[in-house]
Amino acid sequence: MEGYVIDAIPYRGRIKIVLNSFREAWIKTTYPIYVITDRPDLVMQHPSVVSHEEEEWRTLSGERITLHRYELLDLEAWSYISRRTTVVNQLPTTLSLVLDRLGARPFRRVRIDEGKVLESWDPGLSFPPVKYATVITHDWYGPSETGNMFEADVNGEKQRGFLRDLDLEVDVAGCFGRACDHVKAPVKIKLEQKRSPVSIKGLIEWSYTCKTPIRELVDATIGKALTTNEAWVAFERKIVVPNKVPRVEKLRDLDELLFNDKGGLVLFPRIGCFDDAWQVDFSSMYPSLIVKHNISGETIDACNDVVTEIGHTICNSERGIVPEALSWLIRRKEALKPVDPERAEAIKWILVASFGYLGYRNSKFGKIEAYELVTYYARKTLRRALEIAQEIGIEVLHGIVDSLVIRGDAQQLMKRLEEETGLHLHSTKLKWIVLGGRRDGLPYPMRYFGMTEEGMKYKGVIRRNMPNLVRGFLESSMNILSRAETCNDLKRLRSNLLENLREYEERVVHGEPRDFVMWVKGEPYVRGVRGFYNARRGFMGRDTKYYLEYLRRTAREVLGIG
Amino acid sequence: MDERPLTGFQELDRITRDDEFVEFYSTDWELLRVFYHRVIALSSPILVVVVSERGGLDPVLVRRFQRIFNVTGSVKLRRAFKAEDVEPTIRAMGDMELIVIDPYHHRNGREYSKIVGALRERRGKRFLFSYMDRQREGSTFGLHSAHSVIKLERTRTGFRAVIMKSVIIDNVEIPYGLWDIYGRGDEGLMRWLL
Repeated sequence: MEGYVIDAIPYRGRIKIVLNSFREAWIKTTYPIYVITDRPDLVMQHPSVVSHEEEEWRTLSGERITLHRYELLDLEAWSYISRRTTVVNQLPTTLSLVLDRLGARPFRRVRIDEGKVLESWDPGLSFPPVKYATVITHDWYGPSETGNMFEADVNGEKQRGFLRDLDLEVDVAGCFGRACDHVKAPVKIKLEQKRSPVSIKGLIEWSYTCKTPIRELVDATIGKALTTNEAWVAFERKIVVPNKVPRVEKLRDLDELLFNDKGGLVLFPRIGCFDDAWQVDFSSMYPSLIVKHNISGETIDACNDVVTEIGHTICNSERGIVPEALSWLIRRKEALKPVDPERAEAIKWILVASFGYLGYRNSKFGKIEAYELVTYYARKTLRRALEIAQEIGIEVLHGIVDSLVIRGDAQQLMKRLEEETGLHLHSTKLKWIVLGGRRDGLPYPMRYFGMTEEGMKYKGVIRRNMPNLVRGFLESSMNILSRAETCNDLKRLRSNLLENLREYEERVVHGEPRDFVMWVKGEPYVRGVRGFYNARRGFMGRDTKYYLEYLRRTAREVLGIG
Repeated sequence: MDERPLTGFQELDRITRDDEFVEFYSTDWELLRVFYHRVIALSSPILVVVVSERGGLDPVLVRRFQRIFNVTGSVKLRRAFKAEDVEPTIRAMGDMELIVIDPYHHRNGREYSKIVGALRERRGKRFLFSYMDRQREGSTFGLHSAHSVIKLERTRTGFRAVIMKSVIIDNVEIPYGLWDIYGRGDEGLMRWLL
């Protein structure tokens, strides 16, 4: 039997491999458990233990340690033993370890015959030919568990209709509310439980990169996906993956804390509209800095190979676990970008979290000092970029952590920066860009909009918790602005923007109930005359004055009209 | 006898003078926060352990208090971000005088005995600041170990220190004006300016 591994279900002494197109295969197996104990014979007494091996492993700090590996008949025994002993290497999960050694990793093609995996192929960059779908039910205010209409995305194709007409068979389905009753799939993911920000296709990509069944990633945060990748590196090096890593920070004084515990560098932009600008971005700056400088929990302050200005040192005698895990992810993201942006986005999420997770208290392979080093290198890199720009006569309009908005020879700047920093950069031509200010006249660093060759690019303009009406107004305003080729054209579009504002002001009075919904922490709210109420209770009127003021205030602050 | 750490309020310092383990608690987040920043500044040079997932100590506010009270000692600190970090961090501070901010922050029962153990084992004087409501959360989390326990409460014009446990004094309430925290009760800023 040949097919792509979709899921795996553990049974006593064997495992059911679920392949695409609803096929199944059975393989005999045992389940490993890694225990630290002085009395290995006690664990042996459990009736599900099949065998026992003593193995030499290393701790994160490099000390030798003896681990006892037991092979178990079932996962109930695993839970029983883990409650009574110190079990390590809980990541990668036991199921992932079993699939890995059987040669049946998730979303790889396998040939299974007579209870054995005979061959396995890795799809590489191409997407495995599995059928996946996301199905969401809708009510008048938007996504709702009890809605009668559905919206489905089946392998990238959109479908809409009444829920009663829905009858779907796919390999992996993400469904919401009542829609789950109308979908047949071996892996059904309840979207209410999903904690990751990626799509179903993104989850498939995570399952591929983490070598972990998709079911075990459903309620995973980005941190778990990242830690699983790092845990694989540690596992292959025979470094114990502990459950909790107690850490003691270096003793420091107030000045050190003030100087080191900082984020990235953000410049105050020059306010106004600028023609012929460039946006120059460092590609995956933070992960690349982690890889370049070998920043990982176990490499910081371990020896004095590199001594930094902020007092932390880096040890280069061995490549860190975090840099090794990230370098593969960076390469894969770059390779996927032109092939499949949706899967590249899923990897990007892991990379985005990789830096913050270094300093997260529950991180297994991070450390607060490692976190501080990354921001230190990021600030240093951006400052160097500013110096180079000044040297070659480039005008810097704005800078946010890993990105610069400039006017001048962007290619020359990128060449110099790539030579000096060893990081990759990419640039975007901006026909014009508006860098805005606040009500008090100070610059607003996190809000800008501009016109690229591909269309409008904006940041900090539309917030998720805005009423649909205001979001719609801003989106249509951006569409109007996209007609401009220069800053001068923008002035001519002012009347169109005002006309658009009047249309939306009318919609405040005559609009659909959906227009007044705003989503706050996953709940739809409407502002009524007596205050906010949950839209799930039905539409009970809106406060016209509130929406009018909201609309006009947004128009004034973002677009400078009204 | 080394008098550090000290609060700078004569009455409180007199009550806690002979105690090695003093706990201040309050459910008023802002009051306790300002109060311990003052204590850290006045007690410098001092060692501090901050238990918090993020924030917990504002170096600029400590500096401001040091300037107000004309103190220049160094403040050395370590942060403990998760419950498992607290005990080894307290042990790593040696036997010098210590201020611990919110050691039971995580309300982690499994780590509690280790944290209290680490605090009890220390030889130097230690001040502890906690956001726990002792009246609701009872005597758990090391309350029995503290020699003095002082509750801080906000009042209309300032705050009061309620002595909940002490070996030398009954339960009394000592009222202070809010400006007293900033050293405006006596000379305060004027001493620094003139």
